[in-house]
Amino acid sequence: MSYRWEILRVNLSTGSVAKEPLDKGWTEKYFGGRGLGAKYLYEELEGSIDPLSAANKLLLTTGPFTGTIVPCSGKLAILTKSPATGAILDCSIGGHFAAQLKFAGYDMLIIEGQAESPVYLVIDDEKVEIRGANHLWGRGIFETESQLHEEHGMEARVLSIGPAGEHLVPLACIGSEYYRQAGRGGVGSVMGSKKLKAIVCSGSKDVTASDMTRLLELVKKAIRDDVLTDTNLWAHVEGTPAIVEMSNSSGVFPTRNYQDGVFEGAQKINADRIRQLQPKKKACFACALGCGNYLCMEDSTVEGPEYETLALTGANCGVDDIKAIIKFNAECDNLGIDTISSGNVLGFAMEMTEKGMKDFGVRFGDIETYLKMPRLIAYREGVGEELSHGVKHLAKKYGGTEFAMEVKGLELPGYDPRGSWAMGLAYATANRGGCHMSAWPIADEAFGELDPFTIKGKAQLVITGQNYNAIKFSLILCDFWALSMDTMSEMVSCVLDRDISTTNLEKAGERIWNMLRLFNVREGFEVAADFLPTRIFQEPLKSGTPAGRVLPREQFDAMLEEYYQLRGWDSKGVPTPEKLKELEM
Amino acid sequence: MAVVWVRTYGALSSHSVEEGVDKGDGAPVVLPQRRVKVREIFDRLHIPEEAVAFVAINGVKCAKDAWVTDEDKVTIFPLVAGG
Repeated sequence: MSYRWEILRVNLSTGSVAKEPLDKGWTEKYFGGRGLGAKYLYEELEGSIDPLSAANKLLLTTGPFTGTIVPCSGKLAILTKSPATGAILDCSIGGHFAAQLKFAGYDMLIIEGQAESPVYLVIDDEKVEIRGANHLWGRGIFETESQLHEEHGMEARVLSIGPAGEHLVPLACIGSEYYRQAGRGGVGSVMGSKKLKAIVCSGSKDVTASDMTRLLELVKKAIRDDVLTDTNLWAHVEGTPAIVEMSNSSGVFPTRNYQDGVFEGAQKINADRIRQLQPKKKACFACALGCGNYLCMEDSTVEGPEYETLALTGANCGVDDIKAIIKFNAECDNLGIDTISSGNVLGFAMEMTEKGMKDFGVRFGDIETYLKMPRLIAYREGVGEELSHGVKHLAKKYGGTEFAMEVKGLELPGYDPRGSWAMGLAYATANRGGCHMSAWPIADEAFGELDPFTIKGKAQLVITGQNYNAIKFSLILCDFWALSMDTMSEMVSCVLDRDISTTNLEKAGERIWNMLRLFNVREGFEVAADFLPTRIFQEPLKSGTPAGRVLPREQFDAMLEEYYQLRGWDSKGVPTPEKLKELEM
Repeated sequence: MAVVWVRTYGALSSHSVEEGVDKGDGAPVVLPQRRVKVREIFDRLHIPEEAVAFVAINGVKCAKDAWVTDEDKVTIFPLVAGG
């Protein structure tokens, strides 16, 4: 069995460190990662707690594939209640931390309470220590990680926050291996509220599989026939910057705060431009794809910029200078800021300024001011104090709600729903808010051959994608491996000691989605929160294929109603008792 | 005769390399006719049509039976996962 059957629980208020068994029954229903984390979080948190209080918890969860040779299984899931939205927040982060946690002997790490002064956590197999972090507090992620490698060796893996997390900025992320992030929803500020600067982990134990012979065969076959295929290889060859060209050609590339879907400077920030900078490749633990573009340029080093960063901090801010985007990206990585949300915040502030509604001192394409913003946001200084609260807060205070591009308080990723209607439903119903990691139907619509401007069949398309990702991210397999449920089923049966059918996995995916929803229902999220920004309903796109298109409000409402019906939820979007019984919840 | 500039992405790059097409910024493909349908370019580059998910002409998404004429820039993508 690939589980270690142990949870490490650390309470920073009391300084206690405890080990306890992982709940076997819950692993059979929720597996690991997103699903098992959601179940534990739901059971352990009281409703309506302040996300930045000692009552919130941070759950770091591995999955049944973590630490094995299964391809693309290197990610770690991090769950908490989001300070940006008040909803459940599940993030994932690539690299090698998850495997080290498993090698140290733990399937999950639960962090509770709040320390009185800055601390960091050191895990070295059974030896777990809470140490003072005054010497690290105030430092950027790059410097923090370098210092911790000096103290604990290069083999130790590190998660840390930067100044943004320390200052409780709702856009703050957690970084690892310098350039990778658990980015969204203010997960870094939850860590900051606990005064937890970093977690260092080293492990020396093994991870076993029930049927190693069969697993080896499957992995060899998967790498040959299923991982390095046409469908996946783009992730290695160009990485996510390849999406710039598709997105812009489809007219869904967010430009100047979603005022347009075609950016005239796209050619200057696309995959071809990044290739000219000669990036090096970098991979996570057990990954054959190696999607990371590791770029060193002048005084900036990044792993990226990824598509979302190019879209939101590039086109959405009217910036077509790739060097400026790289510099902005590197600043965000070091300060610990999510580039999706910060690109949205700046885009919103730029539009407000240019429309004369509120002068934030930033304008589209003004690179000099743009490059100063990450630091101001991270330290909440000057205009950064206001911007650090996010788009929803700004719109509530200063107006512009109709073009505040957020759902449930989380800023939108880089795909305009006016040119991909199912993507609109996916955003509206995503449990963590404006999110592209719950379902990605744009691949079938704007980037595929389905008509993007009809609602027919779209509710089911979104549900299928959400359930698929729910189980995939609970087993913890990377988004970039497009594998079948059958392959997942074969592999997970090899690492666990029971046969797990495709039907079983499909049902688990639906169960996990409902679990995430139940958390939000307890927090008061219902139908009114499953909504989109007014701009999407009322302001037509200007250019490209979707020129003149909105997502008509009545079409959206019909799609949402069908979605609830197919989900077995009531008209308020609450799972019915019958559905919960069917899912054995 | 027409010359179109073809840029392929991901695993499709290997098809264009065989034909001497630069997998970087796009490279010229010489066609005997004045205009052809996009899918004829797939044939020319030995790209199976089912491997193509997305095509754009001059930066605008198009259907696989759209017409391509002299000096057009054609961008061809495989299916992609994730985001």
